[in-house]
Amino acid sequence: MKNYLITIFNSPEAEKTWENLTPEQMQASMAKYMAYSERLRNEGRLLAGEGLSMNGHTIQGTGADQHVTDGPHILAKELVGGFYFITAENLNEALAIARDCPGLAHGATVEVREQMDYGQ
Amino acid sequence: MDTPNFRTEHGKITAHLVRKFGPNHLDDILDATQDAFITAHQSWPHHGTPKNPTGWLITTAERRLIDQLRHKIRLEALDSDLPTSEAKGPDELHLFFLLCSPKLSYQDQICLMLRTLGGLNSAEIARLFHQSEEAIQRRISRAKSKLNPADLTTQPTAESINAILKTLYLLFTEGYETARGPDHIRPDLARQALILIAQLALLTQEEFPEVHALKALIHFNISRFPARITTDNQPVFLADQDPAQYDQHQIQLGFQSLEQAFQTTYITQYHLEAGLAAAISRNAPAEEILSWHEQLVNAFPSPNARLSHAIALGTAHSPEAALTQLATLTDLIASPYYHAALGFFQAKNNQPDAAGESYRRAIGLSMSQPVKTALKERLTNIHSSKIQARRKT
Repeated sequence: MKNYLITIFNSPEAEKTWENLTPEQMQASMAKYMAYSERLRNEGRLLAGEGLSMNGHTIQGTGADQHVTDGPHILAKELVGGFYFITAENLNEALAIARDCPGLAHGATVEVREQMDYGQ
Repeated sequence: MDTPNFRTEHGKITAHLVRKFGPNHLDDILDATQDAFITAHQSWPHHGTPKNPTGWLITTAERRLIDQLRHKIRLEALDSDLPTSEAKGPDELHLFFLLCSPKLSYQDQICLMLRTLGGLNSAEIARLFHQSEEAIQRRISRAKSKLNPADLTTQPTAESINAILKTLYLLFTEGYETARGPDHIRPDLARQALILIAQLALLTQEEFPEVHALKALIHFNISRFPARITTDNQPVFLADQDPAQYDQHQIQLGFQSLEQAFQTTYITQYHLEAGLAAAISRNAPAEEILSWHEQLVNAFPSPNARLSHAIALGTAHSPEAALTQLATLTDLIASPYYHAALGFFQAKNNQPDAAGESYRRAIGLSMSQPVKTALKERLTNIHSSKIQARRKT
């Protein structure tokens, strides 16, 4: 078994679609997210998972050259909305799981990264 | 813990925030409410539904709102915006009366109520008013800018009750028979209308009998929900419904409200519609249903009332009677239901070709996917009975 980080990125366009969802649509997507997390938990593969606030700061440099900027979006247009850290047999299985991520239906981009194995 | 109903929550959160922060911030309040639901998506799947979801959503929305407002103004200035007078009853009713400000037109009031308490977006409101989405957006933002806490009314007036009832009627109608899209009924909308009318009835007590009339109407119509769709979500038209499936508890509640509604010296459209809905729910004889339709069409000859009356005439008397009446309703030829009714009675009157043509027109005009499907089924039935008739001869 290996560990994989599934990261959900929301583009500004995806953020916009969220703003216009009706309560029923949000209720439906919530049900999908709840079921997805439930499934990962039941399969015993969920190591960690969290949503991230859209507020944040970016830090660059050290000492006198250090800058702290408002907002997490200074480096990329897309914001990380949340992540799942899971175990899977191999990359193919991890990809298959990530392809079911409910965020995709709202225009999110989902990234799958394998935890580096340093052989230590 | 189950996820709560988001539409009901939407109304509660908005109403709570308006009561606390004042109507001047309505834009930010609506944003913060939406934001609370989005934040719930990021938290609940990982931590489960909170023990008190309403409290969680309200706190989240409130924090978000304060953040937004801090960006705009210094927080101390907020206090001066707080409404000083306290309306009786739940937050939702407070917001209702607030939105009935005499500075706003009747239609402005209804749009704002549908947007905030009904949780409808501008596209959905635009459909109800047969206007463009842009026009509704402009209307809503204009109306919001006219709101002022100083105009706050704490006492329900006949005018404010009138606007509130119209809003709940529209909200319920959209839930009862969705005009467009994949669903035939939207129980969430209907339930939200029921919750709000029940709160209003509790607050106003005996003062406005029409409140009880609309409440009765909603109960009776909800009682038929189980019979109005099949298990795979397809519509069942009234003639094909099984009265045994009607919800008896809702019917009982309907009659309780109806009794209160008729302790009055005046009769509104809601009274007559509730009387009619009661007759349908208890599966009354066709003649009795027809007499309610006659009263309605005489007092309030709306297009819908005239069409329903013609249909009731056909059910109580004969297909010819319905067809003769329908022929006079020439202003309804843009309505899919008009052509569906024509097709239904033409088929009964042994005019399969005319019936087929009417059903095809109805299908072409209908914007509701489930209704289209149900009409196509009727069309197929005509064809197959035609083939059978030919085989017999």
